[in-house]
Amino acid sequence: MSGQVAAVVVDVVVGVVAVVAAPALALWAPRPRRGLPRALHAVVDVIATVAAAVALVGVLAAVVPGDPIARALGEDAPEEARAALAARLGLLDDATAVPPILRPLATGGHLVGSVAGGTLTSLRGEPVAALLLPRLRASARLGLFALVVGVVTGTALGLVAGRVARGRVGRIVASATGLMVIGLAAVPRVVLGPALLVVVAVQQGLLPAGGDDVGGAIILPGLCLALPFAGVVARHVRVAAEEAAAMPFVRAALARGASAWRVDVVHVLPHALLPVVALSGLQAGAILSGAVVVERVFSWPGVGTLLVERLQRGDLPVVVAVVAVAVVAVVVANAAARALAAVVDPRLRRRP
Amino acid sequence: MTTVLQRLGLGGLILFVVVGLCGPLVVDVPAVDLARDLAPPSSSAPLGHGEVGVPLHAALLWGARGALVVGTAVTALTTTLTVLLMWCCALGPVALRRLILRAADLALAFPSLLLALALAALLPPSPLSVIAALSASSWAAPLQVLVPLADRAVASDAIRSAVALGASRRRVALVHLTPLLWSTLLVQATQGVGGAVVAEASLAFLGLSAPPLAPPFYTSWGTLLDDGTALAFAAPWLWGPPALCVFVVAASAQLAVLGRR
Repeated sequence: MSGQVAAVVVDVVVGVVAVVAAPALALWAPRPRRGLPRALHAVVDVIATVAAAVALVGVLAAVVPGDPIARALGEDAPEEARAALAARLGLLDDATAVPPILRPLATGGHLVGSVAGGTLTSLRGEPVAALLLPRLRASARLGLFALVVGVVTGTALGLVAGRVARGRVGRIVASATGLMVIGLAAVPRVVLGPALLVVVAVQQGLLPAGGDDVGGAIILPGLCLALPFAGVVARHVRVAAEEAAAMPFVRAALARGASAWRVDVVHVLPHALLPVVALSGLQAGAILSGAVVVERVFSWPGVGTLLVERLQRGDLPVVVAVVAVAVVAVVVANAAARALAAVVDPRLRRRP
Repeated sequence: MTTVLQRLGLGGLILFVVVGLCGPLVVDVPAVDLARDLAPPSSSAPLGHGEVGVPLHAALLWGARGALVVGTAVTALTTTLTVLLMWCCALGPVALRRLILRAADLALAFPSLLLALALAALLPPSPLSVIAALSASSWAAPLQVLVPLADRAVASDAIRSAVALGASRRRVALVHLTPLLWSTLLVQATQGVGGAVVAEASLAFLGLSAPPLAPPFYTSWGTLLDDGTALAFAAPWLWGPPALCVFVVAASAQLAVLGRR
């Protein structure tokens, strides 16, 4: 019994720390202090953000009206099952001495503790880490494919659309590409996915419709994830290319007699690539959101499919784990993009 | 060129509003007709029948009303919240400003659809939950655009002279600051409607929509799209129209604000 009491006390303390201290830490962390290396700042920032996010989801799950256990197990679950689940989730009922106002904090703290300790288990008792790892690998494969295809396609389209039009054909090509870019950036993945699936896979039978075990199965979900991203990239590259075209270094290159293609590739491209780096980081959240839909459409066995399956069963620990992983991915992608942007663009290095 | 596309977008949005408001008045409530389960397009149902014989065109028109309600409500909530927070950031104490901006950073660390999914699943299933979940996941990005603009406005001569003349903080916010940001707010609201309609359709597509208000009065376009995709072999006419509806609203919202920040 005393062990249980100690566990509850630990949960409450962790919960208070995660909900109150983590945001405070996150509030403090981004301001660079003398003597603290910037990398350490970034790490503290990531940890505080993730802890606060996980705790918030846990607290939220505990404060929403309704009985979370009944939602997960059904109204007439046996008493032992209810008690076991409550212990696993760190939920407290009226039998404990913890005042009601602290109970959500204890639940949040329990979740943070088990996420940090790697001991999180799903509703049925499967270890979440083992559940998540293969899914993470599949999602990372899809995301990487989309990142590469999106950046390459988007940059190419943006350069073509933003080229200084030479001659009538050049102008027509540039406008047509511009329209295509606008269309790509505007098409929602929830529309593009079913369209690709039905037209390319079901009606034409050109590519596999789902799963990840057949050759070429990554192409359709990867394209569905990549093309709207390519549209956004292309829009920024186009603006940057148009800016670059008006700059003295491009005019100087043209005056030296460089060919149009050489100017585009050697002089305009590096300039136009600068916003792409930061943009890729900023789009990480949108890509992850899109991945949930895309994975569902093409039955890709990734984290998004796992999330949707478990949400419908009310499997809170898995949901929290997926949200935590997503938050880590977004924060790390942003930090990496910022660091990479500073490497690519020397002008950014001096800024705090 | 640009103006043609912008007009096209505006036209699409107006069409959406008109169809959402009037569509349900001209078409009967989509009724179950088991004899016409998955019947192909006919003169009485130009888009064919879905599962349990519901005529697709009627379901789409009634779905437009649902999309319109959700889109408008989410945009109204988000815009109000963003403007209030923007006032606090631009005119309030520094500590509050730092707290709000940091909270926005934190909110942006959540992929918006994931957050909306988790919230929609945790909250009791109802249209209000969907609206709340979508609003909670879409206030931070507009705020991060607005605050620097508001800062610049507050530092401008016009607002500094208003402050020097003794205008109260409320007067500055309402009379001087907000009118300067109308155009930005309008752009964001337009994008917000498109984003909310797509997000609602995505939630429904993933099986987490609100249950119909009173079945089958409001079936989400996302649900229709999900059903249509699943039936792509048996009834290939079912997936296109709902996909087109979502696309038209999303693309119109993008086109209407093309080239405006």
